[in-house]
Amino acid sequence: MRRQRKKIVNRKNYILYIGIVLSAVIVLVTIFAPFLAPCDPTKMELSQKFIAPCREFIFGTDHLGRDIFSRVIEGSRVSLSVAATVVFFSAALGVSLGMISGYMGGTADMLIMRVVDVLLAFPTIIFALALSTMMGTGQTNLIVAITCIQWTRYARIARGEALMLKHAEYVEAARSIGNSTVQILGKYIFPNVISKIIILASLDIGTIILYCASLSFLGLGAQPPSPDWGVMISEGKDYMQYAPWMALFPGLAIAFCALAFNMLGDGLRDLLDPRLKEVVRTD
Amino acid sequence: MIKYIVKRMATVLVVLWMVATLTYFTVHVTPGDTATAILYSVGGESAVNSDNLERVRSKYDLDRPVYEQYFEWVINAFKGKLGTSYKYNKPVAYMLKLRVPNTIRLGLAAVVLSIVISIPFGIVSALHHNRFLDHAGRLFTLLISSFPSFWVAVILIIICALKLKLLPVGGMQGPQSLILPAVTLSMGMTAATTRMMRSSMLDVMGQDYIWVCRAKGLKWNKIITRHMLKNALPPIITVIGLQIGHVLGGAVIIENIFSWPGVGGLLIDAINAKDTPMIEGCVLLIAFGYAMIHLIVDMIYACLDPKLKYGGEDA
Repeated sequence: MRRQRKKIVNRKNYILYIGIVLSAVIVLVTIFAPFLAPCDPTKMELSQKFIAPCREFIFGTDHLGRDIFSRVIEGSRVSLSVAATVVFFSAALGVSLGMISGYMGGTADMLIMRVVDVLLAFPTIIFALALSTMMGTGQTNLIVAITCIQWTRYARIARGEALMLKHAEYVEAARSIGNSTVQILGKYIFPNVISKIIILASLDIGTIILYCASLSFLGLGAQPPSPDWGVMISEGKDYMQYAPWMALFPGLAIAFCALAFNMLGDGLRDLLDPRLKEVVRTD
Repeated sequence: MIKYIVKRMATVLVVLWMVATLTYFTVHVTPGDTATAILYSVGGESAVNSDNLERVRSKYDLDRPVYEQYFEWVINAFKGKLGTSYKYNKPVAYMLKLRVPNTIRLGLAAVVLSIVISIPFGIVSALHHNRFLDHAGRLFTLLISSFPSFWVAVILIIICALKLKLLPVGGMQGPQSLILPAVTLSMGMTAATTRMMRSSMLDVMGQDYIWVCRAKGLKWNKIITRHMLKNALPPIITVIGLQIGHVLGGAVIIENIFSWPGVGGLLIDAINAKDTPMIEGCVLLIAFGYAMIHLIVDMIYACLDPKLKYGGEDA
């Protein structure tokens, strides 16, 4: 049994390696998008509309004669920048409020957690839809709408950790030598929260890419002619009988990104979450 | 346990009131004048003049202070009166009553489909831990949770409806029109439940009592059905409950693509028409459904969890 346990603990974390490679490819494509795209993603050429995938246009062209490959490449910038912004702000807000809530307790904890409860009472898409009604469509509003809900996940995790650590001996010691609350949270509690937050953030990027694409598909996120993947599928839907490639390739791009970041998150969780390492095969 | 249930119900009531408040202020406090938006959505720019504005403001009580409107709206919402739709000129509650059964039908089909697939998949995956079937199962769940449901819907329409002509493109004509939306909607839930079932089974498999069962010489099948499943299933109930909430959210998009006459389709139409009472009604109804599902799940869990069942109020 001990040998089996060792084998499992030491087994290669292939999912993490694949996740790292795929995510790195996506980040590189995003950075070098202008050099990789063979055509201008917004340039219309009506004489070249609805061309099926061929050697010249490997993903074909759309109803306005734009090169879908260039638009998909450029779309990675839109999707990834929105997802990264949402994750950054959600994590910053969630971790700060969560740590305060767990460490301070009392009224602050009660208030913050009630807000979290109420926000969690809505399915994310529904709340984002309601918010976008108030704020109007567009990418910035989309970021605000999704951040408004997403931070609650980070807050819950940070609160749990802070609650657990506030009576730890080293935190008591830090308090007794006169460290302020901000110093304790920043120097002693935050470093213990960060590994869980990294796992959640990498899993979240995939989820947020899917949310953004869904909202853009419904016409509430990025607006045409932006090369957003959700917008491209929405446009492709109207021509699915004649030009199925218009919806096919942006969808595959979304799935590729979500898959890459899900694998990265899964792999990181296997690596950093000690609970999973205890799983022992019994047969 | 009764004390726990009463406490839980009181919390749900408070959450619902806060949800109603948030919904009201999120949707109602829109930039610009609501009366202008109503006139614009009904009759275009030419309909917006001072006479019409006055008439609309008094018809929909828009000339009263916001706090008065809010209190009246919340009280009416708890009574089930959600105002009149600007677009359809009919009571919102009536419109929702017509559409809710369709959403429930679609949601139930998706949930049942997902449970039927995910539980056996999760069990097989765990029993073959780190072998081919487990890797295949994990890859399958990773893939289906990565594909956007609306894209899968479009691809399924292209293949099953347009190319093979096996199933209808959309609408609600007979049981066969339920297949494509239900399959698409169940994807996310299937992935999450399969993963949870797998890890729950793995947790149970590592317990000492399973070793005792094996040492006693019990048959493997009996150990799986009598000892492992019994202990691995309760955490799944929570996941299923949470996922039903996601199904409610996902239904909005899927209903829109398949022209399914449910609450989701109504919500998207209302957002496009800036039909505020309808948006509030739909959002409130979905949040209410979500909160109720969570309450039911907690209660089932309380009944199944011996600590809550026998531990009384301490739990």
